Amino acid sequence: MAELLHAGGSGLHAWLLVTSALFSLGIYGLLTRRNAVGILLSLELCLNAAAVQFAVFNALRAPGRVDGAVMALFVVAVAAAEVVVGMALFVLLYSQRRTVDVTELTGDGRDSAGGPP
Amino acid sequence: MPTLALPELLVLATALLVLVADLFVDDTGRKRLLPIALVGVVGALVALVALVPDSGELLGGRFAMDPLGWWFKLALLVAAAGVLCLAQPAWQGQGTVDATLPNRGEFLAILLFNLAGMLLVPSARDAVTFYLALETATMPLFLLVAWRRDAVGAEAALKYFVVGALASALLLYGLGWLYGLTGTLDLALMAARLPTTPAAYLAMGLVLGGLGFKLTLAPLHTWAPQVYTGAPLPVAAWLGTASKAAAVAALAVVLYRVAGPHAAAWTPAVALLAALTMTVGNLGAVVQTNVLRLLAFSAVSQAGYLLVGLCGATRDGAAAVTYYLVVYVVTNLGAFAAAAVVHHHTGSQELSAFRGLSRRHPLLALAMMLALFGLAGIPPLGGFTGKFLLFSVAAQAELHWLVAVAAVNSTVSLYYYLRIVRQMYIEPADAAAPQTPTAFLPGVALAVATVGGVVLGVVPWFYETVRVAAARWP
Amino acid sequence: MSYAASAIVQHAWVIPALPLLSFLAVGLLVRPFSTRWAGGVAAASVALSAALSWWLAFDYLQFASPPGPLPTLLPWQTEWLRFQEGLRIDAGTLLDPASVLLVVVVTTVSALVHLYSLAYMDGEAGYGRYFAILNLFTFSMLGLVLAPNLVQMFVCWELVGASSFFLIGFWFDRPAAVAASKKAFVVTRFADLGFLVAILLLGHAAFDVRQQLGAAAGDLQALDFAFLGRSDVLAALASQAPVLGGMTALTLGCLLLFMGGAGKSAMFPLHIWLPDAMEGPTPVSALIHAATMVVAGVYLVARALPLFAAADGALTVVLLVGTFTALFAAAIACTQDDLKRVLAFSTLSQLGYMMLALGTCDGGDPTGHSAALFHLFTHAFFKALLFLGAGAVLHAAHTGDVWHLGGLRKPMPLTHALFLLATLAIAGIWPLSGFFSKDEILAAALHGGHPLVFTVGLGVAGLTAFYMARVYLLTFWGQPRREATAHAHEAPLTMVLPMGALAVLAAVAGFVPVSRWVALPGAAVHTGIDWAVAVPTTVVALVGFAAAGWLYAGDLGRSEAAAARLGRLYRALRHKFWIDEVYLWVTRKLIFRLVAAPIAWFDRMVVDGSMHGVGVLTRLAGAGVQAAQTGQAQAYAAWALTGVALVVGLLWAAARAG
Repeated sequence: MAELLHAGGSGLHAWLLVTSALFSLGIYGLLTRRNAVGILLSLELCLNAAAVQFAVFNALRAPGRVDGAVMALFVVAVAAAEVVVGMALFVLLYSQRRTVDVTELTGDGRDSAGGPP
Repeated sequence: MPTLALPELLVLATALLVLVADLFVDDTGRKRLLPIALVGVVGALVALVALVPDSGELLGGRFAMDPLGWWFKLALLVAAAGVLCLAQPAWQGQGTVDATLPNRGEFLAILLFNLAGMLLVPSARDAVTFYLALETATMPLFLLVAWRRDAVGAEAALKYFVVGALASALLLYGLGWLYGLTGTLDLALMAARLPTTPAAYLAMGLVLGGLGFKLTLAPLHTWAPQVYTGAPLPVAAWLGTASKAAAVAALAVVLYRVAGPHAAAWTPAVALLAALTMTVGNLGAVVQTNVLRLLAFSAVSQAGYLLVGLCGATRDGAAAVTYYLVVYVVTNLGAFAAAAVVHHHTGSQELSAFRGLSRRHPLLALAMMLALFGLAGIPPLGGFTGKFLLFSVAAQAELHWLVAVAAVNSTVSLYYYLRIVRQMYIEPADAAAPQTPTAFLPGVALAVATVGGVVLGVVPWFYETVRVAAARWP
Repeated sequence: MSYAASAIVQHAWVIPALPLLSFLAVGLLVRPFSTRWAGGVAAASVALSAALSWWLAFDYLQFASPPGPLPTLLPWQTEWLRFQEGLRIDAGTLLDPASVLLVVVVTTVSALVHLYSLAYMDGEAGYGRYFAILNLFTFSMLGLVLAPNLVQMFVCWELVGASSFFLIGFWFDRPAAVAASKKAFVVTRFADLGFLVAILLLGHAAFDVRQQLGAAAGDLQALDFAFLGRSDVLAALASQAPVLGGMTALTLGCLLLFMGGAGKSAMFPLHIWLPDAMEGPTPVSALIHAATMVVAGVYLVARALPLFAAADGALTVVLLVGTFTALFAAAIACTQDDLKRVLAFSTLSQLGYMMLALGTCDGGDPTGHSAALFHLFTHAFFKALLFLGAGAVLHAAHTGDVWHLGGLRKPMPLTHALFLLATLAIAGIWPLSGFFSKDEILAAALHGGHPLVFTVGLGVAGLTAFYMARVYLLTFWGQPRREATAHAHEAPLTMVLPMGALAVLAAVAGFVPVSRWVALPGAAVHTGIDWAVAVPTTVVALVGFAAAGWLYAGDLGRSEAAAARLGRLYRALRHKFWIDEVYLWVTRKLIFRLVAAPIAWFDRMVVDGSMHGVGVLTRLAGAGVQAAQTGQAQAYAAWALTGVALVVGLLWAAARAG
């Protein structure tokens, strides 16, 4: 770890602190937000942390190449797609259940989820 | 003409064709879209078998064919053809539930795009392709699960989405660390440069966890039961077969291509996950009264068996996993097809819907029984041969405890598979149960799956070919 | 002349192929159109198979070059699965004295049972299905017997288990039959997992040995019986490092193999499925649960005897389990009231005898091996005859409860005579077959240095005579105790004929020099009657008969009527013969209430109950897994994170440890 963090002495340590903090915040939000949209936002934090990490590693660990940056771009695209899918589901859910509070969705018992009525 | 990617191209072309055609046809025409999609998939299957060589590269090595990848793609295309077949009655508005999957053309297109993503997974040679293929193989599933647009499906899809998105984030974060540790996105270079530091283990663990979600490894399996029940039945079958196959392919890529040199380090973890997964899956299945929940837990336990073969990253293990995967896809397809037919007849997912099936539909009951016996691993069905090979991998790796756990588990599994057999053959039939004939395409899928399950077990050619292929892999 | 000239030896695969073809033909083509033809085709194919197997036995013996031992032949084999070079699994037909013997037994009994079933099952719904599965069973059993390696044996082993499952549950409208079929399948499958693990364990251990041997191994594969029986291989296996708890792979593998064999052969405590399996049709009980399938475990141990002999203590376990089962089951048989259940426990006891005989080889003297196979041979005939006789009684009187039967001697003279013959045979009365084979087992125990086992075996012989005489007397003597019994009639000819054939075999099988043929090198070959064994066994059997006659002969109802009429005088007379009272008290109260009945209770409540308990525990654990399905999406996400943390932790731990 130590060897990695001091590699190049170019602030990699600080950058990794930023990305891991972002990622951890995202995970925390994902586990604690009750509103589905809040969960989606937290998820975006996670994905963006990863994207930043790719860019950082590209700049500091593999300079002169672009693969990490390309990956970061793709991650942004995937994140956008994820949001579209997620929002579509939330809209559907709201129209069916009049709520997007995930803690109110508890139908997974043996009897309660017996398929369509 | 890049023959190497012909199956993928055919699937994509069919998807686009269906999507565009959907705009221009009326309801009657729409009914023909499913046969068109099926023709496309079968065409891709034929192209794979007849034309595609089992090794080669495209796009500067970013897309590659390899001997086992060929088998993974075969399993995926067979699963796709089977699922399209058993979606036919719902598609044509027959039956009691799932009748007319709403917005039908898109359903097929999304399924086919999803399939294309899955087909790319075993061909990925760098992390970008790998990640994109995996996302394409996952994200459309969230939509397909909610396709019925009812409350149950929406709720199931939401849970699938939350856990799936988390898994995808973990995977991506892990890939980021791998990139940082090795300075490359090329999987082969990554393997060569991967250090043995704690950071590398963190990265590998994150990636394994992310893939474990897709393969329903315990404790990442919790989404499965509700999703299987809430999704339209063809989608549940799709999740239980193709999605699993893609996950196994992805896991094989990671464990063999990237982490193969460190097999000694990850084998204990994978062995423990395997034991945990099969045990949780089997125990969960024992108490279920809903057929789809039972099949969901059964699929969890089967994922555990598959994982056994990966222990030690040996060539024999790769052969066993690939062979069992093909058997599993065919056999599980048979079970889902039978469940789908019964579901269409009765509208019920309960075990009691199978009551007296042997008297109403003797052949259907026979097919279901053979499928269940295959999943339980009764010789001479393929399920037995495959399990035998998988367990033998564990014995070879001196994981005797794992062999014992797996063997006990396969006995427990017989117990709940027999519960369905009992309903079909032993319980008296309801007088009111309908005598609907089985539709043509699901019948074909059932017949092929049943015969396939037996042939795969009895004819030595299949395993022999897979073994020879594994010898030239990765 | 040599074996190359014998068509049937070269093409022995035809014998199992016939029932398989017939199974496919009957199941897929004939059954939907004509059930009558289904029975005919099935019976004809097995009869042909039986004729061929007699021809095979004849040629096999005829062409053997005399003074030497009979050869082991492998006339046909084909590759099935190839794990790697040296660990290839073939399908083939292994011909040696034991397998030829078993082929003859299986096809003969099967053919007779097919014939018997034509009448017995007449008019049943599912007549065609019955015959198709009976054919499948015959094929699988033959495949098991002819297996040249452990894997083919296991595959066929599971197939016989599956066919047994279908046949026990044949009357699927009877809940008891359904429960019994499931129990049989799950219990034997549980035992089979021992077999499976043993194959994997032994396979890899033997594969390592094969790699060391290099070219010396020839084309033999690691799981071939021929390879596992070689002395250099056994020595290498025995000297391997321990794998678990100080046991070598060889010892552990043998114990696990025995677990599989004990499940199929219903050794204590895995015997619980066999008595319940009597819910199946009686011909099935005769064929599968008496004559053939249940001896598969004995056959497996006999086949793998070199392995067992090389493994530390494995044969001692076999000896103990066999002896205990023989005694335990015989005691329970004395308390049962259902004709078929008595026979089932009797089967357990006789299987215990066979295992016991194999166990006596632990001193290095393989005489017990010959005795076990000899008893397997004779037992198949007289026990099948007993079951078919019981089937005829059931067919006529519609009940198997001995307290409802009685007096069937008059309406069913043929059945009575045949049943009597089989009773005498199983009790070991000269010159019937049981006498010879049982004496060989006891002689092996006595001369092999197991006097205690010999004593127990002697006691079991007495109990056997007692319980068989008991059911025989209650069934055929006295007056009918139920209306239906009084209207019984003799069985039709197609049922009596197979019984007659079996009776002939049960009578003369003792004179067939089976033990000389199957003798392993070093085994003592008996030429005459061993008086040190024959006298005590015969005396004990006669005592058993006498005890049963004292208690159950005569008219039970009439004696009570007489007692009432004579009143006080009778009672006074009775009291004078106080010996009588004591005798009754000792036998009925002491032995029944205090010994046999508690054993039966223990069997039902504890052994059977623990199996039930395992089921309950599994369900509870399953409910625990289900309880994790709270429906909370974020709880699921937390589970997923826990999983990832687990993986990371394990990787880290493994890296630190390695």
